[in-house]
Amino acid sequence: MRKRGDTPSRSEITEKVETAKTDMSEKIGELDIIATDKETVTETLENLDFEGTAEGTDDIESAVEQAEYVTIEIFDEQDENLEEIQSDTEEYEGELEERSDASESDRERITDAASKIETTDTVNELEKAREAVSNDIEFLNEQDETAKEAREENERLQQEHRARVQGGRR
Amino acid sequence: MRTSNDPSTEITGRSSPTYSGSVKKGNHRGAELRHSLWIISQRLDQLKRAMSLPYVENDGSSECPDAETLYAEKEQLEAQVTADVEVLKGHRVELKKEIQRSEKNLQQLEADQGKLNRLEPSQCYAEAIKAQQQQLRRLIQDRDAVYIVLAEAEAVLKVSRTRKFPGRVPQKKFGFPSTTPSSSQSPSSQSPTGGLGNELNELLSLGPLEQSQDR
Repeated sequence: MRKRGDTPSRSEITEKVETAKTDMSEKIGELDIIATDKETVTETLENLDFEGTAEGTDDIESAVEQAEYVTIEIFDEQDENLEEIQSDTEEYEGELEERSDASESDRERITDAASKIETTDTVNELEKAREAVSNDIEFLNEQDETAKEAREENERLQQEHRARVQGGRR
Repeated sequence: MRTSNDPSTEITGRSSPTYSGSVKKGNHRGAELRHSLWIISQRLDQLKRAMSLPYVENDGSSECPDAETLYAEKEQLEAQVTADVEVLKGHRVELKKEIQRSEKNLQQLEADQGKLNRLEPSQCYAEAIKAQQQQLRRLIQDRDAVYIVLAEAEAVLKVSRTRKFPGRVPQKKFGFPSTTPSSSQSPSSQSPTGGLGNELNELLSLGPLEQSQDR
């Protein structure tokens, strides 16, 4: 059985999951903005008319191409940051699953113990403990599910934004 | 025909419209245009000088024995300048299109820069806008230079076409030193061969003569 000191409080778990959600959401928002910039630059390059022979055309085209390059570079950087956050979140999901599994073992042990005891008071106490552990399991599973859903949705959006950026990549 | 400075950087001339513009490295079209303008300006100067013609009677006779040759040379220059005007008109059309294209590009760049969220690409757009503005400015300068030379050429041609040798197409006579197209001196300052040289010089030094309208 785990020691109480190792176990984070519910509020700590909730806060950590919420922080991960917020961080991922912020990063995906940034990727959305950068992808929008990339689309704007692509649109510019498509719409600019470089058919003329006038001097300076190369300077203009290369400056806009530089804007495209810079935008992709920023996107890749932010995308990498998001990957790290997602990876940390996934790792935390693993931790929550482990805790849930450990609590499940605790519950089984309590159930076993209760079946061997005949003293009503003791059985009642064990039943309370089993309920408490069941609540913990439910909470941990909820938080794990919340984190996973947020991460998976975030990854879906990330793929969309990547496609937007790579779509017009020259 | 090149008699003075580098035509691609400066056009010189005493009375013709002049155009000077800096030539950026790799600016082939701009340099070509400026070179053309320089040549046309030079030719225009020659035509203006050649328009100082001696008086000729309706029967083609003149106190100046080389009158017909001078008229013939004026006609030759007039034809060249007429052709130059057509070339300039072509440049004018081309420049108009280029200016429209540049203005459209500039609008596109400015509008798209306004849509950008990040500073970094926006700074690149600022560079692109600056380059586009410079290009547009150069094109407008080129167009204005073409307009100036074209207007001057058309005005000179208008006057030149009123000064015709009476009765026939003038022919150059053998032995007369050519005043065109490479000479930069006025016919009035030449020393024509023949016995009436001094007299002719005196006459020509008086400037352009009124031409007979009976043609």
